[in-house]
Amino acid sequence: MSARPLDLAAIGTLVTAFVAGLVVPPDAVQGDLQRIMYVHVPSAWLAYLSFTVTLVASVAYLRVRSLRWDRLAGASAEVGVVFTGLALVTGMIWGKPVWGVWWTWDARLVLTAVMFFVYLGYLALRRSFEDPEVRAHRSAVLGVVAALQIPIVHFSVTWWRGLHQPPTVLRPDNPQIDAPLLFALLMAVTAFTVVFVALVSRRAELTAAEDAARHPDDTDATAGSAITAPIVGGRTT
Amino acid sequence: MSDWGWVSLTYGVVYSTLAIYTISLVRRRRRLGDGQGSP
Repeated sequence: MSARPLDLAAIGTLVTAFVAGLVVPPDAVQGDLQRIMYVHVPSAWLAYLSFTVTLVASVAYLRVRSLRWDRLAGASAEVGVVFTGLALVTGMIWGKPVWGVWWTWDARLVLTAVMFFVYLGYLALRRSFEDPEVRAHRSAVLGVVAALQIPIVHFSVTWWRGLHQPPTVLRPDNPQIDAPLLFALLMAVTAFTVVFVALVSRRAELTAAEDAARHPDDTDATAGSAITAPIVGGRTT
Repeated sequence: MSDWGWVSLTYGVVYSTLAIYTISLVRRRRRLGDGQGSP
């Protein structure tokens, strides 16, 4: 399989973000450790985006019953689990030198871990049904319900006092970050978003190929479209 | 460990995870054969 323009764009923006994260000035308080922000924060934001796409695709599936939406929901959830896992691991690595511990029972950390395991369960649920239409319907319901966590995780740092810092960029007043650092952060978010689109595209395509391999006679994109009227007396009704 | 040591560890985890995940998707797709199905 050859590289596509989207793959090349993902690699290009990722390399640019990597370089930007290493050449911008260090933070006045945390020094070079703050550079972890350029991979930790985009991972967390992309987790939100992934699960929001899963929500939208799940709602779309429930409305139009097209398996394309189901594949998009599943693909986005899987990529979201990868980014949530990265946000948790990079947060732990950042926490050790700054907080002195790998893990603490802070609301943001706990709720992010819960979100990670809920979407792992979502992926397990998808694998437990052979029939793509049954899989699509049941996982769409969970995809909608599970999305309730997203705002709770995001606002947990303002609703409950904890060790995790409150929002720096997405706050009601002006972002509390210097321009060069903000530029590097937005560059990283852009790169991770392009990577997200490339990965979801490939994952949805893989799901379509897996479905086609499992059900070679049923490759219609729309659930139920393969059902034909019963034959009565030699004629279709 | 130095600050740069922590930064290198973090970047290594992130970029290698994304690379491994991408390679796994491409290999699984290739194993199923090109041209089957559509997203």
